[in-house]
Amino acid sequence: MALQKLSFPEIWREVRHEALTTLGSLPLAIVLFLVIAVLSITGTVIPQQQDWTFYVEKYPDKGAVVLGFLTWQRIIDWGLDDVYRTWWFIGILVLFGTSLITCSFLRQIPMLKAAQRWRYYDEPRQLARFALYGEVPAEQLDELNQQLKKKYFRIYQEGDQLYANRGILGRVGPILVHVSIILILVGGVWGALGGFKTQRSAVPGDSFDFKDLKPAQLAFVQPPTWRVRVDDFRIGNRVDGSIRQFYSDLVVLDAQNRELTRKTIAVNQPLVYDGVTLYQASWAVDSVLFRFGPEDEWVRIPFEGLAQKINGQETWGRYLPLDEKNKVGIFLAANNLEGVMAILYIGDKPVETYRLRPGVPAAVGKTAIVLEVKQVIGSTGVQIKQDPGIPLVYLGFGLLMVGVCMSYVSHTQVWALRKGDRIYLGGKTNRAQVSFEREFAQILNNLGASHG
Amino acid sequence: MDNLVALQKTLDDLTCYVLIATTLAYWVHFAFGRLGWLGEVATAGMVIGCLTSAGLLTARWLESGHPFPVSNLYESLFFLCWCLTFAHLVAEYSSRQKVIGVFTAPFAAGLAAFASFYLPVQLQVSAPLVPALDSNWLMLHVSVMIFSYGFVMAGGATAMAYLWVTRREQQVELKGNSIGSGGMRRVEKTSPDGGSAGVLTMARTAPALQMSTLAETLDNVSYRLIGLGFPLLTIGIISGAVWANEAWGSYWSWDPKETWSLITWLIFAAYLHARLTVGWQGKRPAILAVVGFASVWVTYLGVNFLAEGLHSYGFFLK
Repeated sequence: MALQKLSFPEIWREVRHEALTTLGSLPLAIVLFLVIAVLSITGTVIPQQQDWTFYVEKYPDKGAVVLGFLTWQRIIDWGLDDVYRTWWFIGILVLFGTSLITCSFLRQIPMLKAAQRWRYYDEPRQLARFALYGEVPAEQLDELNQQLKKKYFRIYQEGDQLYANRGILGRVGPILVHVSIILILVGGVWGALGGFKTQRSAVPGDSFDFKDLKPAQLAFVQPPTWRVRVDDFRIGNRVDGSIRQFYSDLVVLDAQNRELTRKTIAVNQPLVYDGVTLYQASWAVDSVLFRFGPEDEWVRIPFEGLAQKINGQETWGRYLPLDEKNKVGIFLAANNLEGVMAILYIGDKPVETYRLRPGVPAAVGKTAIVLEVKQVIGSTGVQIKQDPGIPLVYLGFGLLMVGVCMSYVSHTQVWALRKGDRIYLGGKTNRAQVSFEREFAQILNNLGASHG
Repeated sequence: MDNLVALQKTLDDLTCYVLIATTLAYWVHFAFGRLGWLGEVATAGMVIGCLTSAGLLTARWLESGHPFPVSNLYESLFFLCWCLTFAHLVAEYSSRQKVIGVFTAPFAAGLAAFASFYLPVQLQVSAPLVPALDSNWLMLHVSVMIFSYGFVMAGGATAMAYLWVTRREQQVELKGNSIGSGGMRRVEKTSPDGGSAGVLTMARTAPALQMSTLAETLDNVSYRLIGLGFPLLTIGIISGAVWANEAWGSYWSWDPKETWSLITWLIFAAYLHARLTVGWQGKRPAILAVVGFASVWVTYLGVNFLAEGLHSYGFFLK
């Protein structure tokens, strides 16, 4: 039986060859591009990483089922609430990376070698096979050489035979693109495994450290032993009142409270220390110093985020009951650090609105109550990140930009052969067909191509 | 200052009306058997539209003092309008084919009209930057991104022109691809209507130099435009990623705009690879280019209907 004659290594070789050819094939690459594109679309249509209650509400399993099948159970089961971190999405990316590597070794490098291999032709009929073909008088060989040199061709000539090429970079570009994408994918994985990312918020005077980082985030990394004190947080405004910038004064301290470094960070201006980067990421109104009259003590009233926005901006506030029966109360709200809005409620109805600023109190009707605010205290939200994959990713970015630009270059080849009283010319290019046709026709004209 | 604002209004209106007229000129030119002079009028309209939108952006730049006027939707619409007219002129010049304008001009006109007539006036005025966008990266990222949109859109529109020209043909072979398989002489065929109307022949050389047909020319110009837009798109996405990493610590966060730019990139990557594939010759790459064209529009405008985020141009249409 024929099958038994095949030894195991032979079968393995056969299977491996078959598998690699498929993996490195262009149709697979095209299908992968489009599959990744389509899967990515789902994550832009279905809101990602929401609480499961959100999906229960938006994607009911009874009544008006979205698209007739998209219930919240399916969304959770299939991982459509976090598409880009599901096993199947990452699996496709891994397949994509494998296909890239295979394609580079199986196709691109052999193609580059083939492109560098060339030979002279010694029969006019061989040249006549090219789409771009022409004949010029025999005495023009030197002039042809000059013309090609002017057009940046590299020229090889042996007696009556000539070969010239230009733009071999266009063959190197795609290889560089593939290598750089591999670098980016590897850098991404390395960063995800070997780094950490966390958020901290603090009011001026407070400090934070990294002792409570979860072990899962720390597969291959030691958390910093230093801590960070926030000395101040403020918002810079423009003349028209719009926000120009957020500033946090950060001080990095060691275990003995010695200052290691300090910097005022702002959006787009992070602090980098010990391989860790601290970004100005968000802010909140933490509390206000408030009292009900000149005789009262200042009380620090903590605010919390409100579901409702005021003037389209995120707003923080707190309700303070003024009597035991909870019939009268003051609602304090703020969406900046300049002042507070106080709304007097009787029953469920807002009765009066006061705008309070430090040094600008407001008396409530005919009562003895004077609403007064001393300070609106903001807390800063800092994003802290360590990503050891960054150098690799950036290297990949750099090479990708270079490679993709090189890939625009068209690899152009010209052959010429002098025989009898004619020079036979053939040429081809891989990308810029139309412009090379014009160039070729121009060369023929300049050399006085014979009239037909 | 006031002069600059008045000048902007004039140029804004002018760009809009000229491009609408240009669109009509291209359409009438091709609907009623190529009136020679009308084609020239259409091209001239494109040149004027390109210049007036450039003038508008310059006036805006002088007025606002931003490093580059791409801080809100109005400015980016006109910048894209300029890029598209510019890319069109490159395409029309390099292919010597006016039929591309039938497809590029309405989109250029649409961009100008949308910015001028549809956007509320308060969104048209020059506005200060929010803190997240207040960075030198803004200029690089946004201008490269929009430049790439202009080129791949022109490439997609040229692919539409190609599909239009070849609508009655079943099989078409392509020439430009990175393997270079199209460099060999094709077997002469006679087209169904008897002649070889599309084949340009060089009467002076013997034997006739085999030049590209109209369809081949459109296809190759489309390929070259996308080939130019693709690196720009890549650089644009990377500059955005680097900026995001420098500004808030994450080079990729799957925000809808980011994701859609990647989707567009993947579609055009598929297009470029389809040209290499034997079984994918003919019209399929062109169809992919048109799909990519649609994807650019979703990336540029459509995403803003889907979600809010750093890319939402402030308070667009909400």
